[in-house]
Amino acid sequence: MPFPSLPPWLDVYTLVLAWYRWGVAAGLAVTVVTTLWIFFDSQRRQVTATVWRALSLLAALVVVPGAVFSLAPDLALSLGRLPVVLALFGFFAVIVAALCLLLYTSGIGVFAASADLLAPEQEPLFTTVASAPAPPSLPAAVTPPPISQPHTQVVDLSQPLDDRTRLLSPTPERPLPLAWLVVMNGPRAGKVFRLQELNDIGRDSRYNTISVEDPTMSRQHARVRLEKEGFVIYDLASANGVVVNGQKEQRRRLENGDRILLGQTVFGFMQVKEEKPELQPAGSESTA
Amino acid sequence: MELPVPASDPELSPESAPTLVIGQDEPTFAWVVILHGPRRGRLYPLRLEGTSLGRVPPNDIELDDDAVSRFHARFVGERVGDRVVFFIQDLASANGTFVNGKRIVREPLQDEDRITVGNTTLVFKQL
Repeated sequence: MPFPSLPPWLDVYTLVLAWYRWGVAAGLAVTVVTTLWIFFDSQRRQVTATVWRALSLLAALVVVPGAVFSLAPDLALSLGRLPVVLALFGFFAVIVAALCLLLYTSGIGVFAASADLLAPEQEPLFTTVASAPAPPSLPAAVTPPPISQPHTQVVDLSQPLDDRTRLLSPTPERPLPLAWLVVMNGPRAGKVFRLQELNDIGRDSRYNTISVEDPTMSRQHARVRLEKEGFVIYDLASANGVVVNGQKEQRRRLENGDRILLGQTVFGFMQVKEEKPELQPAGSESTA
Repeated sequence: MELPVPASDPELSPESAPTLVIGQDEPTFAWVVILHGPRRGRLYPLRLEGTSLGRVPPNDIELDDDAVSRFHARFVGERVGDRVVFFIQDLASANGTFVNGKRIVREPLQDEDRITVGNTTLVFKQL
């Protein structure tokens, strides 16, 4: 009888025994996995999840002493009622962790206010395609139809991308092309942002690699990706849209000198022409 | 250290090189970019009143390249109508200044022009 002080009518006894027999291991697994997943997922998505991170970590920490007690019953018996209390706390901690997971996954949309973050990404955005043997020439039929739908449509980057729209990672033989976005108006005129293979543009510096204080710009407004045909801009379901050279666009390949209007901020796209065949325009222009 | 003063022209002497005050100058939307080497992609904004290029301070564009003269060349902008044309002026450099492979003394620059000073290639960009 490990816990003789408990009244027999209280079912807690069975619960506690069950908890220390197998519940602790399961609870530890649930809380630790939840903690790690929330932590790394929120980091990858660049969303604020401080509350969920902290709560799930706390839950994991509550379960840990239970694991120690289940491994060392003598120690548990010498501590009186503490193991019983901890078992109950541990039980609740698992529930808290599960709730954290649930609220975090459903809350990403609320905090990030961007639809594309909700979509589970089947394909990591940073795949190195350089290693994959690229077909010498893609038939035109393989390329996706240009998205010229109404402005509210989300460009779903979570879908498997075909070779042409794949992110093109720089290699030593093929360094990152020299391209910049230049702020053309406003108090920040003249500010220059070097483009990487993946760039997010918006109002909030926490979620974007390129941010400008423009209240008319969406928090996450546009994304510029390096693809086979060059730098391509996508509208991230922004409120005011992405206007390239006076035309509203969902997806458009950028060319040197293009003017991009996001909110009230005009960006100039500047790229140095280099002899890189894989960065040349692949046949016809795909924009509407 | 002895500074070489390209005597006759006071406008080209290093003392007259204006101090760059970031944020005060109106942007010209013209740059030169280093094309090769570890500083690939380094962008230098050009100012209307002049930007100096050389191996030593106080040049606006300091290039760590032994084949570049201490005061090698100078970029100057000129308003032509509503736009600005930039010129590159060679400051009697030892190894010369080249634009698209051609040795020049003073030359108007166009977008994508390749400027070679010493062993360094720069690209002129203007939006």
